[in-house]
This record gives sequence, C-alpha cells and structure tokens, in this order.
Amino acid sequence: MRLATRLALTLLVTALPLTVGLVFLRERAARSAELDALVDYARGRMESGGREACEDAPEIFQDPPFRLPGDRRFGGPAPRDPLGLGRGPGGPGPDGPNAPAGAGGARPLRGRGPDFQQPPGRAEPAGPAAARFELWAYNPDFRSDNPAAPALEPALRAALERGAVLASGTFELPGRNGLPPRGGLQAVLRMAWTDGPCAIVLARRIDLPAEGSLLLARFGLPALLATLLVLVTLFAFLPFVRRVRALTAGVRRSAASGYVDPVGASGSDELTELGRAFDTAGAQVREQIERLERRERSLRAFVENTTHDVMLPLTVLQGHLVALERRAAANEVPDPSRVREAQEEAHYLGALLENLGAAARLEADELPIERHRMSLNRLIERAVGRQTTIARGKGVELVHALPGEEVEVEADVTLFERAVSNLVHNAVRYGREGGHVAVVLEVEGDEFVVRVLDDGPGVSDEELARLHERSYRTESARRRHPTGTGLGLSIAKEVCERHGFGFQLRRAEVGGLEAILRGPRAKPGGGNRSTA
Amino acid sequence: MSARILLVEDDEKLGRQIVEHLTEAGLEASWLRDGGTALGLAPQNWALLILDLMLPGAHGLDVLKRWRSQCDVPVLVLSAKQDASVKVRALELGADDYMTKPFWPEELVARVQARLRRPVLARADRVECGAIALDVAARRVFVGGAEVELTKVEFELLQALAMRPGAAIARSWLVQNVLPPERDGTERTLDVHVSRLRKKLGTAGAQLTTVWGIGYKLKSEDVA
Repeated sequence: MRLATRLALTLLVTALPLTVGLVFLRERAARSAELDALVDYARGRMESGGREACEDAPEIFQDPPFRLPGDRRFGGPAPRDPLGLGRGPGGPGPDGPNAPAGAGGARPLRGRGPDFQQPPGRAEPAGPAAARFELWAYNPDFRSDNPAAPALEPALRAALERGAVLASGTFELPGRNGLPPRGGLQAVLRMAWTDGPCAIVLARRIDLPAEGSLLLARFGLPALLATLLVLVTLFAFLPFVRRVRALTAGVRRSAASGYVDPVGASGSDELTELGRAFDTAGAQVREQIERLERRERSLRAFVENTTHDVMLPLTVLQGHLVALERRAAANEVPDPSRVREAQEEAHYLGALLENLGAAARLEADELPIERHRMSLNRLIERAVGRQTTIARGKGVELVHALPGEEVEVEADVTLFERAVSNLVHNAVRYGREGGHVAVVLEVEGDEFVVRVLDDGPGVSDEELARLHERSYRTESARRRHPTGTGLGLSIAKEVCERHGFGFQLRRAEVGGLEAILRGPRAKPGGGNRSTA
Repeated sequence: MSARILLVEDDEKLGRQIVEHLTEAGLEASWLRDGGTALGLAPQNWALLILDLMLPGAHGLDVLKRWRSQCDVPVLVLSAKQDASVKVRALELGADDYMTKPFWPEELVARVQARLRRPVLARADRVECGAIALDVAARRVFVGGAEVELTKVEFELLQALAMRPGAAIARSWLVQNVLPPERDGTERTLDVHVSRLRKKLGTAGAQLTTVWGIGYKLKSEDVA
C-alpha cells in the first residue's frame, strides 16, 4: 500500500469513530443535562406556587398558564443548562416572552383559573435547539382533571407504577393547524406530596424547529476538529512522502549510473541521513566493483598472455620431440644438442609460468608483500639447484658460495626465490657455452648481498639503462629477448622494489652482467623462523 | 652406502620416475601412493622421507605433522603450489626443505644426497680432507702423513677451506677473515698466499681449486 493511501486510511479509521464517539458522548451529556434541567424546572415550578395553583383549579392547570402578554405572575427558578447549548426553560433570556427564568424565584402564584391558560406555541424563541417547556398535573391514578392534558405514555406510567419516582423518554406531537409535527423530551415524576390532583407531574420540553441545521449543531464542532486534525496531519506528512519518493528516485538514478551519481539528499534530518547512508553504501559498492573489474582485467590479461607466451616454447619443444622420435625410429643416435634444447624449452616453460604468475600477483595485488623469515642460504641453494641441469647441458659452470653462517631475511618466499631464480636462469640461459655463472651470498654489516655474475656477452651501457627502466607491466612476455634478458629481470627488479631491497645491474669486472640484490638481514632470533 | 628413502606421491608417472632416478643414484627407494597409509607408518625406519602435499587419504601437511611428532628424520616436501603460505606452513611443521614442481630429477637427487650428508659443523680438533689432514689444536698440517710447514696465514687459509670441504669460499670473505687485518689485505695478496699454499701442499695442492667469480674451494676427494 502506498504511504499516502495508508495515511489517509489511518486517518479515516481514527477520525471517524473519534468524531462519532465525541458526538455520542456530547449527546449523552446534553441529554442528561436537559433531563436534569427539565426535572429541576418541574419541581421548582410546582414547589413555588405550582402546587397551589394546580390544587386550586386542577381542571384547568397547565404550566405555563395561559396569560396575556406582560403578565408575569407566575415565576420560578430557571432550570440549569450546564453545557450552555440548549436554551433555558424560559427561553433566550430572563426577559424573554416565555421566560420565568431570572424572575426572582418565589413570587407568589396569585393568578389562577382561566387566566393561567396560555396557548402553546406562543412567542416561540428562534434559533437552534430553542425549546418550550410545559407541565401537566395528574392524580395518583395517573388521571388528569384537566381534559386538555395529554395521556401519559404507558411505558412511563408503568415505570412509576412499579415504584419509580421519575421516568423519562421522548415524545412526538402530531402536526396541528398546518404546523409540522414536533417532538421533545418528557419526564413523569412523583411530587413530594403523594395525594391530590397534582401528585404526578408530566414535564415536557418541546424542541422548536431550528433555523440552522440540527445536524450541524450536533456534529459541527467534532467534525471540524476531526477535519482539522486530518488536514494538519496531511500537511505535515505529504512533504515527507514527497521526499521519500524523491529519495527513491535518487537511489534508482544512482544505481542506474553504476553508483557514480550521488543520491542527493538535502536537509538535516533522518531522511537526509538515509540519503547519505545510501551514498556511502553506493561508494563502497562502486569501489568493490572497480576492484573486481581490475582483478578480472588483470586475470584475463594473465590468461591471455600465458596462453600466448606458452604456445611458442611448447611448439619448439614439440618440434624437438618429433625430431628426436624420428631419429630414434631410424635407429640413429639422437643429437645431444637437440635434447638439450628440448630441456631448455621445458625449463623455460616452467620459469615462464612462474613469472607470469608472479607478474599477475605483483600487478593485481594491492596487498603488501607477505613476509616470512627464511634462510637465504637455502634459498640460494634451491635457486642454483634449479638451474644445474640446464647449466650442465649448456656447458656452463654454475657455482655458488655461501657464508659460513646462516643468513636470514624476511621476504615473500615464492616471489623472492623467483627473483633470484630469474637472475640465475638468465645468466645461464644467455651466458656463452663453456662460460661461468657464479652466485655469491655475502654479508655486509646488517645487510645481505646476493651477487649473480656471468662471463657472457654482457650488455652495452645503453642496454643497461633500458633494463633498469623497463617494467614487466609494459612488456609483452615475448618481446623480452632483445638483449637476452627480459621478463625475468623485470620481475626480479619489481620484487626487490616491493620488498624495499636494492636491485642493481652492472657490467661485471669479469665481463658479462652482474646483478646485485641487497637488503636488510632479519634480526637474529626475532620473529617466527619459518624456513629451515 | 645405500640409504633407504621413502617417497609418498600419488601420481603414477611422477612416482615411478622419482623412484627410478633415486635407484639410479644408488639409493634404496620405497613408494607409497596415499596419505592415509603414510600417516600410520613409523618414519624412523627411513633415512629420508619425500612427501608430496596433495595426497588422497590425508593431506601432506597432516602426515608431516604426525611424522614430526615421532622423530627427526629429514623430510623433503614436494609442492606443486606457488602459494607461499603452504611452503611456509610445511617448514613451520618441521619439513627440512621443499621442492616446487616442476623440478629436474638431477635436482631432486642432489637435494636428497645433500640432506643425507649434511655436515655437522662441530668444531673438530682434527679435520681431514682427502689427502690433507689438519691438527687444529696443534696447528699442524699433514699431506699423506707427511707434515707440511705452513705460515700462520697459510694455515688459517687452509683451515677455513677445510672446514667446509667442497664449498666455494668467496675471496672477499677470506680477505676479511683470514688475512691479518693490520696489513693491507687485498684479493691480490690472497691470491699470492693461495698460490704459495698450493705449492707447499704438493700433489694435494690440486685439491685447492679456483672457483670462477667466487674464490677458492678445497675438494674433499683426492685429485690425482
């Protein structure tokens, strides 16, 4: 359900019973007050001269008596009207034509007989809920000596017969002389005296037709209040609904733009906070998406590069294998150089895959290098041992030297070993046949130094500068051989940089290329020693 | 000497190859194909254990943990993963070394052999290296039983090399640690000392070889 609909329904469900309830309560209170006023009026009139007038001439008694205009012989206390809505029994004011109210109470009722008669309906006050009062007297047998007195309603009479002092109800008068039918409140009550022709009195309050609407008089105020309540609530709530809609539209717009556009929330309340919370969440989502996209791009690039780069050595390897197979089939001695080349290609493939993996990690990972304490001595042994077969096949003497002590370093095991392996592999792969490659681990103060040198063809100054500038990022792995070095060196350089280690390439004194890695030794004894 | 090696590797082809190469190298190799069985055996019956990590039955790291709780037989871990944390974990659990696939059979055999004869770097009073014998306490040197007179520097040079037979020792290290600091120690001075020492050692002088790009080493085997 829409918010506005829900609000309207809620208001309706609340306001309608409230109005009806209020009207009902008000009606009940008014009715009760009217009855009280009627009874008070009746008793007051009868006790202040009415009884005497009645008993004197019961056959004509009726109140107000018939009298000429200006005759104010018969007075009595005015009945109270607590809510002030109805008119007093005497009419609009103390001096109203039909009003004994305010007439000073116990004025002796002198007049009697016919002059007590008053034609009903004379000088009716105008205005809503205007009423006229009349009294009729009956003896204990519920009969009136005045033939004009109306017959008592059986229900009221029955109530009094059962012993009640007072019985009340409504009544209707049939239309007469062209006048519309009228109704009102009536009460039958026993007087303090129990006998005589006036022991029982019928008091009637005849409601006179109001010029305004009775409905309006009764329902006006509560309805007005309820309407006011509805309007105020709507006025307060509708802008809120509008803002929620605007917020919804903003969120949709932001989502459609891939969370680039802000939701846009003005003001400084909870709705604004909600808008800002959307913006924050959107920014996080965007960040997440961007990171995933970057990762996916890098992964896709990795797969593409790998596939491309692996195919070539694999093709070369297949060629070697086919040549060897042909020779074997022809019972010829296989060409050892062919076997060696096949080995080299296989070895190169392994190194290439590891390098591409390392490149992907270096490129995609914004995470810091994960360092573990490890033995550099073992690492050098592994890196050298890895190349021994190829070196032997190529006739390159691969030697290494370690210090007598253990040298430990805190580094990423895989990446740093890859870096050292690359330097050794490059030196062996591109060194000259019958040449040398030496790997030396030394300690200088608090630093370790790994030197990899060869007596290969070496590089020119120009090439050396290019090697230093080069980044694996800009390299297609296959365009890496112009000087017999490439991806491997770039990876080694990047790994060192990421570790904060020094990386230097220079022409070796013995000819060829010398690579120097330098970095802090792990503090002895500290940290978790994880590598033997 | 034929040392018993146990290989735990589930891949048929690789397992067969490794056993073949170990046997060729004169080592006695047994082969298990699943981790579950490896978990239950007594590791002390072997001189060295080669353990693949990805195994059916039980993970290599669990096997390693179980073995390490029983004895200190060297364990060489084979890993196909580039993941540093696996290697680090293996080493933390007490593996002596690891090899990452792909590797050359030669490389593996060399690693196994190195592990089997890992020298105990105890300070021995008497060091023997091929035909050369050093009495460290008395600072005397014998070649084939006959004493050779050496200067202080020459003796310390020979001792430094003999303490790690077969290992190349860097010139720079020798200059720093062997040559007397008060004099101008240069690599050229070192080379002069070595050349004299080699001459004094006579036939055994051939054991003292130059290592390209590094320095010198003393071969442990007799050189004719």
